[in-house]
Amino acid sequence: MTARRNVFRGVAASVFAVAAVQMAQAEMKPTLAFSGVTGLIDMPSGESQPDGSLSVTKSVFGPIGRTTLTFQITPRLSGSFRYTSFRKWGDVIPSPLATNLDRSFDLRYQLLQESKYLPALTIGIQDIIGTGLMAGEYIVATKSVGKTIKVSAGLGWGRFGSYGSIGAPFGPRPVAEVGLGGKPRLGEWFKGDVAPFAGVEWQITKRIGFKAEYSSDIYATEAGYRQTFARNSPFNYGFEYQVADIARIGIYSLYGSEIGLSAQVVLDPKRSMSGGQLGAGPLPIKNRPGSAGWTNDTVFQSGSATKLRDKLQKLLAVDGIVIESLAVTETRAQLRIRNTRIDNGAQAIGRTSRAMAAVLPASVESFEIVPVADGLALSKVVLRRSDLEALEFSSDQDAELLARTQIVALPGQQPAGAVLGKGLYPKFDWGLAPYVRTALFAPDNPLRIDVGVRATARYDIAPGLVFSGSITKKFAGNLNKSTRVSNSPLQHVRSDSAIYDREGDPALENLTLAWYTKPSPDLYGRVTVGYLERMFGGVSAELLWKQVDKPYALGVEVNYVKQRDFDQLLGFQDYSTVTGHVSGYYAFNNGFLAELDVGRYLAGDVGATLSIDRTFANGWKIGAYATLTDVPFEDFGEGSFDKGIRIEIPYAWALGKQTRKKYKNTIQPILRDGGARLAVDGRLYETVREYHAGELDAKWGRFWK
Amino acid sequence: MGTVLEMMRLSRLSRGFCLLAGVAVLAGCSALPLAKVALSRVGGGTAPIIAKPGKDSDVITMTLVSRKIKFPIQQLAVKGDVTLWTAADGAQVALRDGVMISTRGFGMDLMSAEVPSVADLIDDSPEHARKNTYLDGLDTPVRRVYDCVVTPVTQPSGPDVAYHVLETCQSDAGKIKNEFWISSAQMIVKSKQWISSGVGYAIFNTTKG
Repeated sequence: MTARRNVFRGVAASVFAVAAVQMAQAEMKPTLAFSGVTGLIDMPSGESQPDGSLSVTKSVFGPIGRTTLTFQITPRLSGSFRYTSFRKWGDVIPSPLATNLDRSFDLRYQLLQESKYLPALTIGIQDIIGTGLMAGEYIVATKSVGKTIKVSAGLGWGRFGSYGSIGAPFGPRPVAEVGLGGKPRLGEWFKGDVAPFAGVEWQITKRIGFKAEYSSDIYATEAGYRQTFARNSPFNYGFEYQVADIARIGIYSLYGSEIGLSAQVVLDPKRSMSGGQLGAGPLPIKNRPGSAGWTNDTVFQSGSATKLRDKLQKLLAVDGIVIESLAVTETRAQLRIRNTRIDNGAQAIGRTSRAMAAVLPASVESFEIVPVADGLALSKVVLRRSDLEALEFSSDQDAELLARTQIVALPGQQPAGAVLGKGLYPKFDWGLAPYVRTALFAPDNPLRIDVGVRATARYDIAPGLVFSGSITKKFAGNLNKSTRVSNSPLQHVRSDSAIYDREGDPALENLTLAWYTKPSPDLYGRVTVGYLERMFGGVSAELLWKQVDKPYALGVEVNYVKQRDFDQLLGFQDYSTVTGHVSGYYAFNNGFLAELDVGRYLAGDVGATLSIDRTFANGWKIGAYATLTDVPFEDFGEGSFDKGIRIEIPYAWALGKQTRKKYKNTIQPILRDGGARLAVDGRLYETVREYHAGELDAKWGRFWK
Repeated sequence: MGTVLEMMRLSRLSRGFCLLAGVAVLAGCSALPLAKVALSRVGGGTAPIIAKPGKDSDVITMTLVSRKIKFPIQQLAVKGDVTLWTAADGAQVALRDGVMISTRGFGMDLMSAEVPSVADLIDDSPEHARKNTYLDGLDTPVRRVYDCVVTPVTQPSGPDVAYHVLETCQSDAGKIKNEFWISSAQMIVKSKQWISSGVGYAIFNTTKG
């Protein structure tokens, strides 16, 4: 036992040690500026972060603090969402705000990637749809000089053209209309004064870097009009220290008067934080005797299916795989499984096939593995046992096996003679776990958070028929501290969330009876009745059409719901409505996933939501959505229309362990009532897609893991 | 020593989680208690081992060079010229006549490989190709093709060693150097072989000591 523990520690520790070695050998990384985009100190640069990277930058100098989330959407395109606080806002010029909190969104596009003679060249627009306080545009080039120095130079407009102007080549800049925000100010872009800026970055050692720049931002409002700090010089400089592969901190002198600090975290989905999956290896594929040597024991005999199921379940339990049913004939076995722990569907199928090879009689040649979720049979993966035996140690085993594997549709009914999993129905299960609920970047507070405990219960009555519920009890937090009162002229379907937070303690989050059904091989259905979400209860029905080998799908959902009481117990308010959508889904080959929902929203408004997510085979998902409905911008209120950013990061990526849990969050800074959708659990598309051909193909590399 | 390493590992994971939580709340590292809770829920404990060797199976030693950790590995299965070995924690290594073709459970594993035979390592034609397959951070297979040259090391060392050769392999990703000590019966008795950039080199020794 002791030896085992020591070896494990050794293997695990070695992985981290080598990761550290790799970092030391890394080349000069593109670093981040105070504004959270790739850049120098307060000025941007022409470089980009690695494709798919998600970064968080926290910076502060003088009265100005910024927190920025940046996603490298494609190798050349990036988007940033920023929350800026301006302290001392009313110290000299009276203002109702002691601290002005502002949100802004940027887009940057790299026109040229650096080559031997040409620099990297990027065009960027800062604060596209915010209030315009941070608005500025730029074009900037960066060139490496040797392996340790990078030089940047650019031209800026707006904020970036406010100091040392050399003219206004594209005419005067119109005066910004702040309004409700949320609308792009196209007429301002690249208008008005233009000014040059420049800087240099020097990597002194593997971990220590130096930056110096000439800034073209005069801080007209902050340093000029409101005098929140003194801008004595255009020159900034500072040192940065690479704390870890993903983290960097810095200290700077800014504008001849202020000390600045920054912290940057860059997560690259393509580089696992744990270095890869740890843990025990799989079962070897068991050798079969040649068919001439088959006996009564090695040819399937009817009546022994129950024993085989029990043997299989014992092996599969190690990986958290539950048998829904087993049907065996002399030459073919269909095993329906529920994967409760492995984050990668292909690996769950791989582990299942190894257990089948270990247990099933030698005469069984065709393995049919059917992943099941919520009682729905999602696809049938058909493997030949002899292929598993032949490819176990072959080079290119993943590609060769995938080419010989069929992933096909199947009806929902169990095959003839199937033996059901042991003790699955009816079955009661419960859990108690801590929970965290956050509200990020609200107009009056960047971070509100509640922590507490969540009790969950689930009663599986029959395949596809589930009674479940959850109750939360808050221990601490400040979600209830929001004093903003909704002024929405629409029914307050979401904008009273602060009241729900305040009064719902304890809260019955949901209590539902859900029925999942599969009327035909390509059709999936769901009906959910009960307290569907924190704010609404009623009945929700959904039908999804998705072919197993196609990238597109169509869905329709209709709900009749009534608004729940603020205390989130059993009562309802007077408001009820019919809401629903027709949804189209398309999974592009490059990992982008588009969803268009057209229909009627909770407040009775009619419109459409477009969502674009970038998905990664390891389970990362980052995307954004926007909803436009027939609610006029002025009725919608601040932000003009509903929009948000959503992030999913699998814990398995961070820990290298088997778990299907994910960190999920949606950053929706303003919760208003227009374009609000019902948040019912168990929507079908994500569940169904996981085991269809496109997703399994993308994840197939881990079949043999 | 073991406890220290385990603490190091947990500390690194906790720190990583803290940074991840930083993304979660975009508020620096203030969510440390949350990180601890999350860690205890999703991590912790060694994974159960499904494939266990027989009681009296053969044992050889494996050393992970980067950490100077040496441990026994036990024979788990034999498939023709491939022998599958397992460490006490369930990590696995497959050797084809002593040449490594795959690993499992080491983090960045060698998923599969096309490797030279023992005869290729000692015959008169010193050049051959090698193909290693890894999974990148997205779990997508990455295939590295190497051009390899075998050169003899002047002084074979050890009583059972007839050949001591160095296999130098070059690919776009860089150079690796594997080393083999081979007996007169053309058995690899000791070797130093590259697993991956995440794990480094491993030494396999079939003899005691």
